[in-house]
Amino acid sequence: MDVAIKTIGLTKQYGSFVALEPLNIEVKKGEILGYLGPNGAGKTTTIRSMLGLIKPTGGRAEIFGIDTQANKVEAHKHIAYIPGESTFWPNLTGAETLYLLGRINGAVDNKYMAELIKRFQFDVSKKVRAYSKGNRQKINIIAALMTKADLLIMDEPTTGLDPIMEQAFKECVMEAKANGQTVFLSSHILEEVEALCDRIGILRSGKLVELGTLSEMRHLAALTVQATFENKPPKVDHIKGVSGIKVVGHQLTCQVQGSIDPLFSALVAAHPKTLLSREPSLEELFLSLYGEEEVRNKDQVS
Amino acid sequence: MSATTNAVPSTAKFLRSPRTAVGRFVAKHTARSSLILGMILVFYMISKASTYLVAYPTEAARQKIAESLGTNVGIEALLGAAHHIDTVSGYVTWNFLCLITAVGAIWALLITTKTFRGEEDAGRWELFLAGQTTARRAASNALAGLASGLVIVYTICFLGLLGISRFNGAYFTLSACLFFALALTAGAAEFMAIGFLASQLMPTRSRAAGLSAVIFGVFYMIRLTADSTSAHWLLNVSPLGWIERLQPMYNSQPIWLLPIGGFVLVLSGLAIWLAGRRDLGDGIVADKDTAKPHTRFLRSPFGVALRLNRAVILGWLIAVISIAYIYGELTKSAAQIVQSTTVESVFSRLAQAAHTQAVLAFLGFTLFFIMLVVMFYVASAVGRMRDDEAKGYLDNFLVRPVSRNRWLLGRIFLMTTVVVIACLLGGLSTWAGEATQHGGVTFHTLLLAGVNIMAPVLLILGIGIFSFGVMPRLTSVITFAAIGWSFLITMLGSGVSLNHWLLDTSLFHHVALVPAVGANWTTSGILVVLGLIFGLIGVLRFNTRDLRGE
Repeated sequence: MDVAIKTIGLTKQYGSFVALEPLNIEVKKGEILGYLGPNGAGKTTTIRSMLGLIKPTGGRAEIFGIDTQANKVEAHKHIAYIPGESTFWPNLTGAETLYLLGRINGAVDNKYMAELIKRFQFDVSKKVRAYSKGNRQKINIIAALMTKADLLIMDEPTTGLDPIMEQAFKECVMEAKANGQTVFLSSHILEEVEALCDRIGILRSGKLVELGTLSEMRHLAALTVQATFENKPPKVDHIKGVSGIKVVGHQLTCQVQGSIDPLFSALVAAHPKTLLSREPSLEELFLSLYGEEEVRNKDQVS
Repeated sequence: MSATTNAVPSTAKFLRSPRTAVGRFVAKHTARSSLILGMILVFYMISKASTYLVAYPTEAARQKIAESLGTNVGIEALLGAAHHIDTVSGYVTWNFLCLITAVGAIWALLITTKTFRGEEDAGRWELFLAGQTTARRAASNALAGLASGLVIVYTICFLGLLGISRFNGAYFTLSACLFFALALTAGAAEFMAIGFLASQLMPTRSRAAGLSAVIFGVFYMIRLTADSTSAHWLLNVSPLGWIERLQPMYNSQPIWLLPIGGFVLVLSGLAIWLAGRRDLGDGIVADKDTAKPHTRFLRSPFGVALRLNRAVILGWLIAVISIAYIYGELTKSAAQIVQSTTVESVFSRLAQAAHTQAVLAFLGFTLFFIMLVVMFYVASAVGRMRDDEAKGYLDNFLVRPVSRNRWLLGRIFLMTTVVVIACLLGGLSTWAGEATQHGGVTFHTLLLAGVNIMAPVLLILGIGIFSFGVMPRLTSVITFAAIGWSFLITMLGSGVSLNHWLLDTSLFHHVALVPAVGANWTTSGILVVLGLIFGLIGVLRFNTRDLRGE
């Protein structure tokens, strides 16, 4: 089975409110899929529907071909889940909690667990109520990774972690990918998604609006061009697709969408000293996508 | 000005002050439970008073019951010392004071530990402390908020007493009503202070509530011993005894308000002082934050439930054993009362038998009381099960290869096992207590009586599971309401004739008070089957519904 996750028209409604519009998505085995969206877009609803914690209003989800509603236990044998919030029993210690979660899961790589405890600098002797938020999140991360499950589903997994632990987490995810594990990563940290994910899905108001690799999604935002001249920069505002022109001294910065040829010809004709172009980052793509929505909303109001 | 600003209701500057924000928040969240408690108490008071007036309409009847009850240590252990119970005011004092004090005390310790320690455990208290306040000011503010709930209960009790004074044959003065209402709420005030102090001493809510409950148990046992033995002086050393010393309605002793008020003020002052001396999340009593791992039981959802609930379960079992043993010991003396013709009629109504032996009638009533205690265990256990879902602990299992059925059936099995053990221990301990007084009732008879009370408790368990599956956010409310309603209807029905349709809505109406009467296994079977049906619907619905948070 090459497909790790498959959703077929997965839908969730709360009364008349549509939390998730029919979602059709496929995640290949060994792939890391980033799942982006602002607060309330439906990311957690998607994950909880896939896990069978909430019942979809329509459609279904399959994990390695197993229907997650009809056969939850069988599907969960392939899954390890890292939620963004940790709710563990306050009177159990970290060691007891990891032991319990491992026993319930069935299969645990004890050697790898010990390694993870060391890498995340986690003190297992403390009671859960004495842990900081970040340390509680480490329980979630270690408990999931130590199972070496075929599929890792993560919902804001680095919540509360410091930058060093975030780095340790990224390394673990890359190792998981190298082991052939599949990762479904829902995150607000665009840099994390950009660094780790093979493909990205962007959710807006419960609807999947974009799905593809980062390079496939570059068309969503403009290319940034920066040029420095001996004298005054040439006028480019008449060129189709050019926007955001800024001139500081002899330096010109602008964005271009569509063909770059007309702009390039105009700049070369003025003999630039330096000429740089940069593709949009995921953050620029994301902001461009949501910026459009904001502008549309403003238009509707006006 | 924007629409949002316009939507903010205009309030006095004082009420909007950040200094009173915590108090206002707590007051708002306490008001509902205070109202519900007040209404229940008033319903109980009115029903008991009207029952008395109807059941004992003449001087002769009242004199007769007074002679029986006033000299009986057994019944005094249950309801406190009986004084002037040939009058309406004496009778209502005797019937209301100890019972309502106990109910109010339990309510107060639960709501206080929830407000102080529960909010801190959940991480919400730090949001208050991050505002324009200090730990001590926030604590005193919250106490003021809780006290407003007490004022609500007081007011409702006062109005209820005023209503009773309008009954034909009952007349209470305004000042008597004011004083009696004060006595009725004094227990809640005392245990609000105890719960407040325990919340500063202990590092978690469950421990704070546990400590408060133990203190309640000790004070209650002292009061019980004082009322059932010659050591009446013991009333002076128990805060619950001080309330009894107030003797409202017939021989008011307001001087006893001094130790009560002093007790509340000293404990509250101490708790406020301690609130400023401890770290957030810690208690004054040192608790180790680290521990060696003990993995016994941590192998399954059932094992976790057993490990995390074992102290609570043990507490309930000890309570059942203690109550059953003490009541068993009191059987012989208490049975004298049942030989009174008037009182026999009340017991006969309860037991649904025309005539019965006095000892057996009292034992039947004792087992009824034990059944009530076990039902309260079930209601609280079902509530804790719902808490596991609401707080997100359940997610930890259900995102792993654990089916909903496995988790829920494990919890049901645990609760059922405790019910069976508690009922059997209830019967056995009653026999052990009764045997010390050579009452002559056999081991087999009381063991059977213990088995007999299992069926109604299992029906309550079924109702709890049903509400958990169908209306999870109302799980505790529905389960406690089923017990409360049955109790009220049965108590009313024991005094006056009620419509049989109304009586049939009480679960207790269908319970044979073994050994006062013979067991009705057919009815027990029907109750168990009904419990199974309710439980099955709950399990099926739980399997298909969404998990729901708080």
